[in-house]
Amino acid sequence: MTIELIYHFFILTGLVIIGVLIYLRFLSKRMMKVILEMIDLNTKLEYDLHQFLPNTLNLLRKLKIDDYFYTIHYLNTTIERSNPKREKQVEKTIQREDYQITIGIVPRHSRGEQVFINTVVLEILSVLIEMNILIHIKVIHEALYKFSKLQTFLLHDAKNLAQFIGSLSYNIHHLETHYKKDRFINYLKETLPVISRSSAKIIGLLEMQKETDDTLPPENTIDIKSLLENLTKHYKLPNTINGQASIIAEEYMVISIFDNLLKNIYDKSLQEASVTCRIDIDNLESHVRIVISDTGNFIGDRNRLFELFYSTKKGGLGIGLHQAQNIAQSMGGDIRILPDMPGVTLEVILPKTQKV
Amino acid sequence: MPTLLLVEDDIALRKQIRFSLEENFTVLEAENRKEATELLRKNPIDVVILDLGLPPNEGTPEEGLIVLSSILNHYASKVIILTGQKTEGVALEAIKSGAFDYLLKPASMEKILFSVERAILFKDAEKELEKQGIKKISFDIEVGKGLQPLRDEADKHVILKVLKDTNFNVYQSAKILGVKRESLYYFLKKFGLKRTHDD
Repeated sequence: MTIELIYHFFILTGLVIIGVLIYLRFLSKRMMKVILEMIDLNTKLEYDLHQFLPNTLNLLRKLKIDDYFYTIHYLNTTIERSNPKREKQVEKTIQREDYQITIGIVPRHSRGEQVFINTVVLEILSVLIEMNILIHIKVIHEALYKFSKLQTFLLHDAKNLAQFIGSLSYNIHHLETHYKKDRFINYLKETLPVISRSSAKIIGLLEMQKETDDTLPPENTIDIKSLLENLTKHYKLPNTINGQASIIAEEYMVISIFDNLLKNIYDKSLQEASVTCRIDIDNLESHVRIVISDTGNFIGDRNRLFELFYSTKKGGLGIGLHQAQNIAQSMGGDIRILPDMPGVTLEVILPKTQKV
Repeated sequence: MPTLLLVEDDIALRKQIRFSLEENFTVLEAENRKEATELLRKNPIDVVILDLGLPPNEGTPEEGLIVLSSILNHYASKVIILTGQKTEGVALEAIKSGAFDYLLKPASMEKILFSVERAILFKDAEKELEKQGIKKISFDIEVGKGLQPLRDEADKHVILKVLKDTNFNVYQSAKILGVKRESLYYFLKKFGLKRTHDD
């Protein structure tokens, strides 16, 4: 009789435990489902707190949470939902240098398993809010940083241009003698190709993201070898140029591509001794292939070389190679790093004529 | 004719400034730190017009400030900064280092010429005073910390200047300073003065 009772007791206890486990499994499944829906909603709304928070209530109600409230301050912004001030509410506050978050939930009750659900939901909500704020702050900081870099770059050139115009105008007003006039013209002759290259570079930068007007075909025939000779001469780069080819293209585009590539080698030559560059030009059937390599060292991530605003130089803008690749692609060509080559060896492919 | 070094990476601008100056000065040109250092080493230069945004870091004043510090530590040239780097910190650093003038681009040619003429005037006056045995030494000191740090800084700068003038000849330096060689060695140890590669 006693043994039978003990058996019954164990069977009953086992059933109760199984029941509890099944219930807990059901609860956690339901909770997990809602949490995943919340994460999914946040992703769909692109981590925008202003949209995410007002749309969360329906999901919370599935977990017996009737209401919620929050006060969030970040980057001079405040998002608020008033506190209903009920007895059962649970809240959490996060204080950081850049932001403050107060988030609270009002559960239907705070008994049994609901206490556990309340804690988990509050934690998940605060993590999502904090993550969204951090993403937002990071995006804004990065945008501002990149904007200021771009501004510095353009300002540097714009200020030089303004100084150049000022000095030019002063000199024009002081050309009293023939000797002075001749000297002045000689200086201008010497610098005009450079001015033209600089303006090509700026035009290339400004046109970088612009749709090109492809109804008019370019008409300039560009001798690649002579263009590269001029650029290497300008940057005083010891070089070997093999091969010859010419293409029909917009001159400013081609100048912009090679000026950016050779400027990088020039910058290296200022920090390392005896940097030389080698350029091989292959005249293919419909394209021209130019391989540019140098003897300088490369420290950085080769895979990120064409990434916009990625620079291995301190204070570098990180726009040159991206711009060069962008222009080459818009012409129907490309620039890539040749694998298995020492340092950085770049291959530039350009079509001989651009399709209309 | 006084010699002037123009350190500017923009060749078009450099040529225009050169044109305005070369009637009255011997003008040398450099477009980066390497060329500037080379020219400074080989030529006695009275005035340097220095752009701070030099390659490979045109967007920052870093390269220019290195050139500035190198000139002020090793040469007696007057330095006029002509730059587009408009931040208070940079201007403050340049002036603290001992730049003669700080002009923001775009600056009128009249302003540049005026500044160069003043720099030459100061340079000539200093040369004249040097002939009379008077040397100008400048250094920065935080006021309000008593007189001892001021005395130490003055001692250090005078000793360093004389050592540089005598090419770090301790015997000659001690003679010029009017102290015993042992005393000079004591100061060298106290201030941690050593001959650097540049010296």
